[in-house]
Amino acid sequence: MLQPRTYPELLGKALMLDADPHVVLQDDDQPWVEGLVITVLVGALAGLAQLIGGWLLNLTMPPAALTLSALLDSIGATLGPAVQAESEPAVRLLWGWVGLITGYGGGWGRLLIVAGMPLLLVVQWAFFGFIGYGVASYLGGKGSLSQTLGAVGLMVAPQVLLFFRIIPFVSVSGLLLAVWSLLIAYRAIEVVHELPWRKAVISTLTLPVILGLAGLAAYLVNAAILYVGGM
Amino acid sequence: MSEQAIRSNPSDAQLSETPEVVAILPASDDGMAVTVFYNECPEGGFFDVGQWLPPREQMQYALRLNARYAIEGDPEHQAAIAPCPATSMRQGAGMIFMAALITGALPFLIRWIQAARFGTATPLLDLARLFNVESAFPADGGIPLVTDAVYRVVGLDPRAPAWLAAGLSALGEWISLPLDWLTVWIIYGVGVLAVSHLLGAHTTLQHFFAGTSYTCLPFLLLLLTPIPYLGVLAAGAALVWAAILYVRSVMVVTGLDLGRTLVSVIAPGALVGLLLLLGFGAAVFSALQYAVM
Repeated sequence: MLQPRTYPELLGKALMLDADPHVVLQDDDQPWVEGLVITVLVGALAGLAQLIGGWLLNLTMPPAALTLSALLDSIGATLGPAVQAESEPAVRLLWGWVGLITGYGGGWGRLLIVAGMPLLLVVQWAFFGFIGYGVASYLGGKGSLSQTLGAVGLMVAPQVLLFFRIIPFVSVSGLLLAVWSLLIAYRAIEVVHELPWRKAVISTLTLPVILGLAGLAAYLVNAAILYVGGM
Repeated sequence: MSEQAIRSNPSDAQLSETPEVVAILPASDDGMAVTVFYNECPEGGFFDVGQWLPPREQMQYALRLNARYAIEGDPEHQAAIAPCPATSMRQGAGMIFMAALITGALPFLIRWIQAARFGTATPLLDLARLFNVESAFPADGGIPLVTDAVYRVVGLDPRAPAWLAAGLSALGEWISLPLDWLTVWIIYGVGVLAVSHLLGAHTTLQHFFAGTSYTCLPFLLLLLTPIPYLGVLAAGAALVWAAILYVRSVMVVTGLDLGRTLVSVIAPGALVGLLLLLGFGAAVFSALQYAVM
């Protein structure tokens, strides 16, 4: 049964790497549903906080249109009107991307963050849950898939730090979020599957290692294509 | 006869109904009052503020570089300090957050005032300073396009009143400080923990992070950084003090000897430095190759 009132405490204890919240979700009657709801809720709130933060960021800065205009004027004044006219489309395109990433400049594009955050976190949760369960079971783990998905849902806990981004210019390290999430996932798999620490580490790191190797392979293939193309 | 229960946390109501008495001592000169100590940890609410900091005495032990008593408690006087001597990760995280907030409080006020006087947000103030916009003689040798762009952008007024724009941006910088400290604590800690396990340490994640959290305390000296000269000295002293405390804390929580502890503490930093050096070398090599071609 869904217990949203307990979520703040579950998330807080998961952040402190306690075993209790994983045990609670393991013993729940619908662990995977709880995991999914926790993930979506935290993602949506983090997205909302960043949306409001982006709006406040715009208040603290000069209007984006004026800033862009000043930049284009600079190009014209220092490099000449011809360069300004030639580079203007590229500068405007780049400016649009900067606005989308930082939230500076407004526009409905920022709503993408609200929708995108939960989606991204659900994908991460599902991948971790399925692969973590598969590897842990292979290594002798005792937990079920539903219990794994429930406990692994708490790996979203560090995203709570993104709530601080409701204040403009607050920076939260992506590396911190990734590493802390991995630590919580490790605890989840260790607790749910009753695995010794080495096996729990292997189960946790399988997905990041696969992703890392895939990224490296893609980079090498890309570099090889560019190298051959350049010859 | 009155009784006074001494507990480290304010959530007394949530203690077990049948606490175990482990010591009865005279608590006043008349000898009538007694003090009752409980040997169980209070099960207070997770978000009770009092549960997020270690007892003051244990922080003092840490500042005196007595890492064992700070992390595990002073066995002789522990009952008078707290019924739960071992520092928890929650207390460690709370302490780091609080210490960083205290350290950043004065710089926050200074940055707010400076940016408000300049009439802009703090990042634009930094940009202006970088390109010497405040001076009558702009920095020489800058790229003309960038310099010109900075001059134009920092001259624009923010949408909100300047004091509000400056305040919000300074607040953002201030709140970022605890998050930065947490980042170093967790990420560097994972590296040290991994190496120490390879060298034979046996400790848990929670115990390790709880023990190493005291390293934040010497950095309170960074509060003095806005003061010219003294600030630099204070920063240097904080760094050395924290480094010694970190090594001693890692020794306590991992049970390793000094040599292996030093390897555990230095190896992650050395690895990161090596990778950065390799990256820098590769970039320079590529640039030279491009120049030759």
